[in-house]
Amino acid sequence: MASVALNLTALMDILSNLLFFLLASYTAQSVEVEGQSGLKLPSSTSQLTLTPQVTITVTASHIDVGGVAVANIQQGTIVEPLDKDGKVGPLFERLRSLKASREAAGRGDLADAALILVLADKGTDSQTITRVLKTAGFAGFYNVRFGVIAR
Amino acid sequence: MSGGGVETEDEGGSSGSNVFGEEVVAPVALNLTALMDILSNLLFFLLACFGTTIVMGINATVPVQSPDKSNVADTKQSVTAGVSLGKDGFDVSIVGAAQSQDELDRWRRKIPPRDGSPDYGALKAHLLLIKQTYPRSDTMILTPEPGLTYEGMVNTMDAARESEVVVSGVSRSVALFPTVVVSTVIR
Repeated sequence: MASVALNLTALMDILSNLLFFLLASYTAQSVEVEGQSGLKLPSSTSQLTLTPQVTITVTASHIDVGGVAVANIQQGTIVEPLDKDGKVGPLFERLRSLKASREAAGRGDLADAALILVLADKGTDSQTITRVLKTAGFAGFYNVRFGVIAR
Repeated sequence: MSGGGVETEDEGGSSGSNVFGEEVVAPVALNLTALMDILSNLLFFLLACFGTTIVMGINATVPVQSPDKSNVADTKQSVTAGVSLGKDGFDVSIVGAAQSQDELDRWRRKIPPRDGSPDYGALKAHLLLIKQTYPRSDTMILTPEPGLTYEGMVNTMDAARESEVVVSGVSRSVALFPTVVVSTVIR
């Protein structure tokens, strides 16, 4: 009986494309969510999807804005001294400069101009979170979206 | 490219050479079955992972001093819930401009921890009662005490967002206090 030779080239093409697409998506997500040590997001029942925003990341050891470290955390508290209003100085300066550059680019009046995304480790002290939010509010980012893992 | 069987082809007749007199090279038949297996496994693994790392969001606001807008409800059918999250449980209260102080005080309740952890079920039940009495309410002011975790704040916001209600035998999801203002304890 003659053996059947299947031409798998087209199928291989499709599979390879799918594979690269999924690899790219998987990598992009893991960088944002688990790419930093000391960052495990809490889980939530929220169904609200995320859109790209200015992101404040609060890990167990530091706070960064858009990947730039602005403050350190030791034993659950922010190392940098607070100013008289209770703001975290370096965080405030960084957020103000982002706000100013957005306004200079003509994006100051957009609906999400005052919106900021906070990705914080689930074990972060609530006082650290409220201090970050207060600082963001002073810098003009008074709408907050907390990033959480869908439960 | 073909998988499986080996195929031979004679392009230049039966002599074993082509029209240019070169020796015919037998076509190479690659067996792709093993590669297909690996790719398929990788594909299903990545498909499974793709659906499990979705990041969602919870909206909240920071208190902002404004002369023309207040977070305090000002109609008979609406109040603003205040939830303090502390080590000894929740302290729930409501504020409203259109209610008497006695009426507001009746809804004040301390919810102690249950089995060492915050009683989110009791909080949800109490907020549901408030919502049923003041159906136009939607704002909660969350005040976490220092020393508690961010995860506790998120769980509290989850409990206050919506509740399942059975109406005529059909379970429905009802929004409770989805608008959250995160405040701080003033000492």
